[in-house]
Amino acid sequence: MSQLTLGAVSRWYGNVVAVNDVTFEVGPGITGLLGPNGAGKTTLLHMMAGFLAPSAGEVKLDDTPTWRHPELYRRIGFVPEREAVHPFLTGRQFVEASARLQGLDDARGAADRAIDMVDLQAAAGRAIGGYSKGMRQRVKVAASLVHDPSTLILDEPFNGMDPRQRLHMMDLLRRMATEGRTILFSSHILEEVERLSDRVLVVVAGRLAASGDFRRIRRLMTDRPHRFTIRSTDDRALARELLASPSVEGVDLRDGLLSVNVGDYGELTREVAPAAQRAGASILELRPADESLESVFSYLVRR
Amino acid sequence: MILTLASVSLRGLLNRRRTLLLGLFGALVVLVAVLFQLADQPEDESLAFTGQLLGNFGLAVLLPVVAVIVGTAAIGSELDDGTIIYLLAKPIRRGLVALVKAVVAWVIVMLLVSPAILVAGVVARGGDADLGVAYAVAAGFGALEYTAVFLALSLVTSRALVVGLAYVVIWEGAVAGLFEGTRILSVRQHALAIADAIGGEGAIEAPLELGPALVVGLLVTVVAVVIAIRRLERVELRGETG
Amino acid sequence: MSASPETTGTIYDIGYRRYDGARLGRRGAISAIVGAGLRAVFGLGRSGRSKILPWGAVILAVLPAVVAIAIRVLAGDIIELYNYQNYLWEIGGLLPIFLAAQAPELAVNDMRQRVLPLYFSRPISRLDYVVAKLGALTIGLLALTLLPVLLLFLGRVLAAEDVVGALGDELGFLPAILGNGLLYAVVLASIGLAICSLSGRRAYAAAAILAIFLVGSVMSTMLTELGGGLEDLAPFAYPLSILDGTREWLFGESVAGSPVASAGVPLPFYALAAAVLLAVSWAVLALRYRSVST
Repeated sequence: MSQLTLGAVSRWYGNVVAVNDVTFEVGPGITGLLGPNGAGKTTLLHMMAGFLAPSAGEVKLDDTPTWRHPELYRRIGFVPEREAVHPFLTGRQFVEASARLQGLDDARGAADRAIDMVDLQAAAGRAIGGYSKGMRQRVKVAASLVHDPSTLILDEPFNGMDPRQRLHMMDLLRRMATEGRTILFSSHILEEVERLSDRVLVVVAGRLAASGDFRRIRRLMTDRPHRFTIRSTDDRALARELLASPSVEGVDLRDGLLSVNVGDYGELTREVAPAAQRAGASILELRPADESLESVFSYLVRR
Repeated sequence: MILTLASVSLRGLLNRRRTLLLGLFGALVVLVAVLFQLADQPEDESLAFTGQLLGNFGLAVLLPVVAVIVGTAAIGSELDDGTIIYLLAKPIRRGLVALVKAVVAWVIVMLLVSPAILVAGVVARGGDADLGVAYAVAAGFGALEYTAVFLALSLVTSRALVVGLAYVVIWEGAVAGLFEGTRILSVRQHALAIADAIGGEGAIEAPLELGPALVVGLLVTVVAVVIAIRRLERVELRGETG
Repeated sequence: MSASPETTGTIYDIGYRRYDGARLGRRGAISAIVGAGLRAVFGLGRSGRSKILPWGAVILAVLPAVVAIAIRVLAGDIIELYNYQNYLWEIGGLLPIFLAAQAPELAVNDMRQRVLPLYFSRPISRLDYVVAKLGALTIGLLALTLLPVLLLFLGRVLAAEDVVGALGDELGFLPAILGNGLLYAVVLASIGLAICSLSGRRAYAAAAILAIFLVGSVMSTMLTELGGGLEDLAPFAYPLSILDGTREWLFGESVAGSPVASAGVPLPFYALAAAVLLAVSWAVLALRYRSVST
């Protein structure tokens, strides 16, 4: 079990503060680091991977600081965002070299396994200089997990991958997570984070804006009404009844759909059945309309 | 592990274009020696000429240019495009990485320069290898010093190639030639002193004494390597979006 | 219900607009590239640090002319260190330095940052692009190859006691001054640009240019000292001596200290060598830019 800990970490460059007093822990499972471009995601990941020193605070992997402790790399696999990989090496040579530099005994076997995992067997014998973007990403991932690390840190890993490659990579990461590994990846694409991560860390302008399960985060956003869509046999009558309830802040009848804005998430669930009875309408469908990471995210970014 | 490091560094430094161009450069020195033989000059001319060729062309131009290109690229090119991260994300002391790269760069510079100087020397002297060997060995030492300095330079500034060239042209070309006191700090003078001591036969002026040249040369090398190691251990990799 | 006062309301269309004005076409594009090129050559529009070298070189190139004129004005016709013929040879070192420093600024960035497809999807051909860049670099070099000599000319005329008479005397030199300046500028620009087109990084291009001139200079000195027939080869190792030979053939008068003087080669050969340099440079440029994928 590997635990990444950040304690009151800040990082500044002269006058510019890239990361501002961030504290969190990342444990086994998949955690997504979400934020707009320039929010400090790469800075955070590089600090966690031991390539940047924090200006203040501590970054640790299992109680050892990550900065200037190269022995930790036995347990860490890192996939950087920058595209460039040694172009004169073939995919296999690159992964094998990574294995050897990790001190593995059977470097060739480990490299073959890693290449299989990312589905790069066909191109492994070609020089990386001729790879497509997706292939390059895959070879980077292969090199990062060739030594079977307990912690994987990936910076924008799905960049440049086509949908099939992305699904494959997500499956791979999920498998590794169920084996007990700690996986942390960053992205600015909401669907990726939503689909893959158990936990979400939202970083905005260098600060940690929220952390945890995004649905629970949504529930904490009480200063913003929750939105539901309802299909029923008599939308207008139902709308009239719902409006009588004090927790309902607004109704919307448009495009054949009844949208309801409620202040309190739980109140609606208690109100909707009696309201339907009074209106004489049957409820055909009831959905939360904004329980998406997107709405959580845009709320946090605008705050 | 070390072998893998060395192998990756070697392959990175010896890409086709660079090796070809630098190799041609070395061949140019040999060409001039051949031309000299074809010109059929009197015997006593050959000593002075060979000294000029090996000293003012080989040690003063060929060696530093090859060294600055290879030395600044050894770590510099990987720092530039970000691929250095794959060598540093490993359970290896960064100082070891710096050291291995320094040695690989030194060997490459030697391989590109010393044989050319040796052959040129033999050809120009019509078969007598004394001068060729002396200058080739001196080139090996000069390569060590130059490579160490340029390697350290590449970790100090992102414009190491230009700064290195400026050093060679301005400092070693003009300043150290003019002021006696500064000669001790010129790699070129160190190399010339060694060549002269081994078997230079007084072919070219080498004002420094062997002892001080060796000592200062080794000192500069060690200091440069230590600087390179320290800086690599503390280098911070920001990534593109910082 | 009382009548409400008349109010007008309009929604303004502030969306995307097409451009209906004049389009400058090929000419405009070419002159834009030349203009931008000139600015790159002299470091205009960039930090102060990038201006030091080009402007410093221009000042250093012009300095001897200014000094010579000053001496003439103050002390008369006593010494003539610099004349129209040997001026460019004497300031020789400045030309490769300027070229090595500024040519990469002009050409290499476009290649490196893959901006070329943007250029070529406009109404200019690849030939136009290369010619425009060459033009800019040539004009820039004229500041070193023509300007100082022109200043010398002006100085001689204006500093003389009989200005009109002096004008008559010196006027005969003017075609040579212009021709020579242009010759040097075009050939050097071609060589410099060709080398730049072969490299992906400014530092390497600069190093390559410096290396060629440095090595050439050392080689030609060595070959001259060797003698025994090799001094005939000496001038051809160094681009600047090839140019000096061409100058001598076109405009007469040899320069002491140039390898051309010690070589016994008939002068037309230098012009031939210069033509070869031009041809090779242009061929390299053509090949390089033709193979750039859009």
